[in-house]
Amino acid sequence: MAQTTPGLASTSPSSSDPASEGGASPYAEQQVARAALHRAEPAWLVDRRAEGARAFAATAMPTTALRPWRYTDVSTLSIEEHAPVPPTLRVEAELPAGAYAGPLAEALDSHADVVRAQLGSLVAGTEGRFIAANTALWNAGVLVHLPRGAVCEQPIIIDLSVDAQAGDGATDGAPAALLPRLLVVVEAQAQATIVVRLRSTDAPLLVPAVAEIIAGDHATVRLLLDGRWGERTREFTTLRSRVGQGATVEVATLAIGGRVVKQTLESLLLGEGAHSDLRGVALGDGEQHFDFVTLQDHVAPRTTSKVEIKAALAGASRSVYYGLTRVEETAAGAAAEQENRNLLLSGHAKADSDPVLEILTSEVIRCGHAATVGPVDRDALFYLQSRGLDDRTALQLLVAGFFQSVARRISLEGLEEDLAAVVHDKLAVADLS
Amino acid sequence: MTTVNPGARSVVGEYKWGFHDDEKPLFMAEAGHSEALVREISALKNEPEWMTEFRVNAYRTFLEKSDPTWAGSPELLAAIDFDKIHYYVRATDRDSTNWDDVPEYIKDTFDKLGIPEAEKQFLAGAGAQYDSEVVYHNIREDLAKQGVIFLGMDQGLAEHGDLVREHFGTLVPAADNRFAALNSAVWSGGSFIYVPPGVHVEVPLQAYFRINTESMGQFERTLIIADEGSYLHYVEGCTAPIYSTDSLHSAVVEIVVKKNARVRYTTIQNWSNNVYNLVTKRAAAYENAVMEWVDGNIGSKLTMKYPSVYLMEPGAHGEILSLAFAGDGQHQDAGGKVVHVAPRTTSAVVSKSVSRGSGRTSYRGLLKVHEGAEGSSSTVRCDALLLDEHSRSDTYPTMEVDEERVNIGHEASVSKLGEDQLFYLMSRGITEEEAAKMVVNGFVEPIVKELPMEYAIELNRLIELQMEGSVG
Repeated sequence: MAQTTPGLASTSPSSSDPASEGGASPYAEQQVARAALHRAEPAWLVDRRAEGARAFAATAMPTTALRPWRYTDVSTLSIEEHAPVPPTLRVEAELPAGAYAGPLAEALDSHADVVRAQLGSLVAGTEGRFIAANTALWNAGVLVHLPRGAVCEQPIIIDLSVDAQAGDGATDGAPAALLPRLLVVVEAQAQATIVVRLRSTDAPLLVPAVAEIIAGDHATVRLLLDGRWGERTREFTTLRSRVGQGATVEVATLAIGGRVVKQTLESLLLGEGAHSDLRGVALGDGEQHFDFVTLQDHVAPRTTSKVEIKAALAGASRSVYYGLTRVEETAAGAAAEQENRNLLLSGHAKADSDPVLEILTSEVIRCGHAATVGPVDRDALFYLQSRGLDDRTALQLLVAGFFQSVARRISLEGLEEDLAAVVHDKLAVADLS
Repeated sequence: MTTVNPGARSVVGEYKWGFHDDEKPLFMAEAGHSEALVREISALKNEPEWMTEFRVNAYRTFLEKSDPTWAGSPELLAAIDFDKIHYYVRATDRDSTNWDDVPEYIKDTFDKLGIPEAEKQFLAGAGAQYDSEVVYHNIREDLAKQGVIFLGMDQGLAEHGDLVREHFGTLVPAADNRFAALNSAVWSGGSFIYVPPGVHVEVPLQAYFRINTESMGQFERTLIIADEGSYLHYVEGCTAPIYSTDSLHSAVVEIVVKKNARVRYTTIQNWSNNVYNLVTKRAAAYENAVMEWVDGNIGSKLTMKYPSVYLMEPGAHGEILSLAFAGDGQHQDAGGKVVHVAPRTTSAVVSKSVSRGSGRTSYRGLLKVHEGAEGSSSTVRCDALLLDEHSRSDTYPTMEVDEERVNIGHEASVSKLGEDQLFYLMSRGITEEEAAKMVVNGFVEPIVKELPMEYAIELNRLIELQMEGSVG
């Protein structure tokens, strides 16, 4: 097994070149089109997928020379070696009239216009190799659509998982790939809260994911990505939001499981007064590798954004944060804050932080960022120890407290307790040396 | 009266601050570069063979290198025409340039700075001599008594070859980046300083005193070795707009700060607005040593300069104070790098930048803490002030932390000139322009106060000049 960034090398036992299998690779254009036709997808989508397959063939794997990939070396990862497997997808929602939340495949008929107009409108299939793979082969698609003024009071729950058999070698020994695609269209004045629960077994799994969020004027979209992958899952997600006038998009991500979680999370603040709120929590142990690349692009006047990413890292886990807040010349009156805090819980954990600001106009209210890296506060630890708590218990409490600001902000019922329990369980066995 | 036009590329004759050596035939290289030219420069300077080899290898590296991929203004870098640059020019006609030929805007600036006539002429490259010669020699004598070596780099190489060879290119290898490679191939001028153990150099050493005899170069190379327990403050004086028809300045500075020593290196850069200022500065600080960079960037078209400190042994401390002011059409891409290699090392970076008109300032930093550098701490603080609607400010503060037992913090803020601050001052009868100057001066004060007094005064004046007409 090749050694570059630990664990990123392909876990495939045999490194057979799929190209040598006479174009039988599911990633080849012909196969992609054939599969799409087999599913009786509309012609435009077959074309879109074929285009994705062509982009996939024409695009090289990103190298660490590219800034967003500096700390995540995927040079030895071969996407083609991963056979797409059917996911288990369940959507639970109590929807207002006219709203839809369900499989994208079914929406192709029922919501043909919305899907055709919006799918791929924010994330082009040609943007990169993982995105191209997803464009060609997405197999776990979900559409959430709220028409103008529709308010969904209860969270829409999307459960997405891959069962044990599929990951365990049902695919002729090849490791599995899951290709989720999320399209959220919340029209003017509509509101929705979406929780995406991502689960997998401990079998090798590659997850190239794409999510697009379109928030109309004065709409509110809240999305929680709750990633509790199995220990050999590698996730590469691109999520992009378009935020309309006076609209709010809040995205929160919990990176708890998985071997590699690399998420590119972007907000395009195109409407006047648009607001983007991005929160993230990463809890690492062992060889876990988290990489967050964020963009808050302030295009319209009086747009605001807030980014808060917190990582607590045990074992030899690593967190990378590369966040760009850009205030364009046209964004007079913008305000933006970025915060990245890293707690190193062991001697081998690492954190890299690069909160970038590009401010192209003086007409800003305030733009700032802060980043810290360090161990838990010694005084706090000492205090807890003086109360008779052992080191591990004290750390469990301190880390749960560290995450609390994010958990409270997300304000989903039960999340704070749930996260505290996760912290407790994970740190009960984590390597804190 | 000639219109003031900082962007004008009027020609006042050839570059004036070439290598000074009366025994060699006068020489000015053709524009453009070649390995033969590099060898010729070395031969003309009578350099030892190792230096010739160093230059030639560096030149080959230069040919292989391309511009850094992370450059903030790649289009500006791409505009540099390496074939049109004179890489080596000796004073051939120092007296033939007339003060009258110096563009009006340069003279105007000199007048406003209150620079003495003789000095003005020298700085403009039109003066035959600047009469600090005596001062310079007096200082030289005092230093010599203490065993301090303060020479031009070329002379340093000739007289202290072994010491130079031991350190030259060790902190900034030729392959470090494209411009360091170019400098390594064609360097000329710069300072060589050695401070013996325990010696405290009480007066700041200023390149200023030296430039009239040794001359400055576009590709100067400075090496400073502060031996154990010594102290030195070096001031690189580009205190007035230096008129240059050539548009590329690419220096390399290497500083070795040994155990318990302390070095402060102060630069006030005020190149004219047609100069690319692409400089590599790096220091290594050993046990309990202190290295401080005070770096002010006011002039140039594009500056890319990130003074670095490598904290090599326990207890070492590094400090970078960076000030940048970008006016119309300027891009100040400055910042600093600190690399914590050893335990209990500390560092502080403070950056203040001001952008006005279409000016752009970028803070670009790296803070690296290697595994094993336990007990280290660092703070990075960047503040940017934007004066005009079209001004731009960027902050690229990369932090890489591979060690748990450290305390690392970074904070940045970007704001515009506060309307309430202006309003308050104006309500006290101060004009808007004066008020803006006062706010900016207050903003940069934490850095300015670290400068020797005469530089602080000049810097304030420079900022006032930059601010002229900035309001309304």
